[in-house]
Amino acid sequence: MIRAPGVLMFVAWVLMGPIGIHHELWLPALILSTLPITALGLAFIVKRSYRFQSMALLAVLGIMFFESLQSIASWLHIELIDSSLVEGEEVRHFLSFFFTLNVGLAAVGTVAAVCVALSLELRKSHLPLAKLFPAMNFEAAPPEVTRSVEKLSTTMGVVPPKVTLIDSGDPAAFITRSKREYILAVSVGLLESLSAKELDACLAHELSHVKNNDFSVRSFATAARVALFAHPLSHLIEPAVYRAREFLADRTAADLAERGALISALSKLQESQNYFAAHRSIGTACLFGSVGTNPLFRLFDKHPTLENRIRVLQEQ
Amino acid sequence: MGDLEAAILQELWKSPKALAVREFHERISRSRPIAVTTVATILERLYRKGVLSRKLVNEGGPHYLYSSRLSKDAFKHVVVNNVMGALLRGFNDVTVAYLAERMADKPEDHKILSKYLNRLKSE
Repeated sequence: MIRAPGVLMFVAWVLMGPIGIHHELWLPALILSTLPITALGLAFIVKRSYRFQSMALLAVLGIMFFESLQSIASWLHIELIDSSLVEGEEVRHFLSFFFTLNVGLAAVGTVAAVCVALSLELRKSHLPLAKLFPAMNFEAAPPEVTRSVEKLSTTMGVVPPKVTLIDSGDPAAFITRSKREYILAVSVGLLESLSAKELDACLAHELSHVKNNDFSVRSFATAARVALFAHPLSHLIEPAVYRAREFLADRTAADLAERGALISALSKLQESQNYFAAHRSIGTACLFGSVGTNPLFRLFDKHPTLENRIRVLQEQ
Repeated sequence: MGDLEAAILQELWKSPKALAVREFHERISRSRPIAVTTVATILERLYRKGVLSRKLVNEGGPHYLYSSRLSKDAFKHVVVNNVMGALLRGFNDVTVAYLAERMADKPEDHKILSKYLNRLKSE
């Protein structure tokens, strides 16, 4: 069965391979550009290593960044400056300087964009929770949930995050960084809907994001997408990194808590999702289409579908 | 309003006390298969629409106790008022003609319709 990341990998290989040929050092460039892609392919074929997949995708983004700058520089020199169209040594020197300056400025601009993206991420992590999520009300977490989080954190070897309760009936849980510390938020709706074991599995999933350093990995992926905003592949690779980290968090949680409990919790959420998808008004469906089920739109989703998460957990 | 929302309100009007999500789920799932997460989400929607009020209770784990803000009759009045009000604002002639046609055979409805039309004229 061909999966979306597999298609992505193939497109990346097709696009990136020939770029290396334009380089003076085309062979190392070609090897360099295809190495992570090949590794990524092996990761998909041999074993579902989501950690490896996401790191390989990050490497692809890094190499794409390097390739883009190299390609611009090479193209300008080969096609314009070194061509017979430009006459006179002084003019060539001037153009060479001008183009080098332009490529330099582009590089500086890109690095600046990455720095801005990273600093925005950093700034966001310093904001209090109420400013990060102004539409939500937060209450003190119940002691039993705090105890569960502390117990799971000790088992996982991570510093226990602060736990807070979202004043909402919608079943939801997330982990975020606020004021330089991790905060795990669970909604009243989630506590009402899940059994103790299912809740533990959900908490373990959120804590896995801390254990697997997902915040750093996702920040780098976002920064790389900002730097490579003109490259269409970057807009597909960033969400693919996010999705791989979600699958990885599921696997980590399943290894720690009960796999069946995590599947059961996700199934409950999926049932609810299916109910609302089925009861969407015909008018709305006609206007906007079934965005959630279209595989093309799913390529841009940072979260894998619940259906896929359950299937992967069942197959492991 | 969806049928599940209506079923939830019916359960609430039947009950002498405020109900928790699990109680709603237990009662509604007797007649149809439904996930507790779906019931929780529907209740949240009804709360946001202002149809329900709720209280956060911590005994036995945090959960909400939901109660209706309106009696069954008051709720019917609000729904009909909203629907008819919108129709009369948007499609006045067509709505009035439709009502007149539907009520032509029922003298008791004439009085209600005349009363409503008189009130509209006076506005």
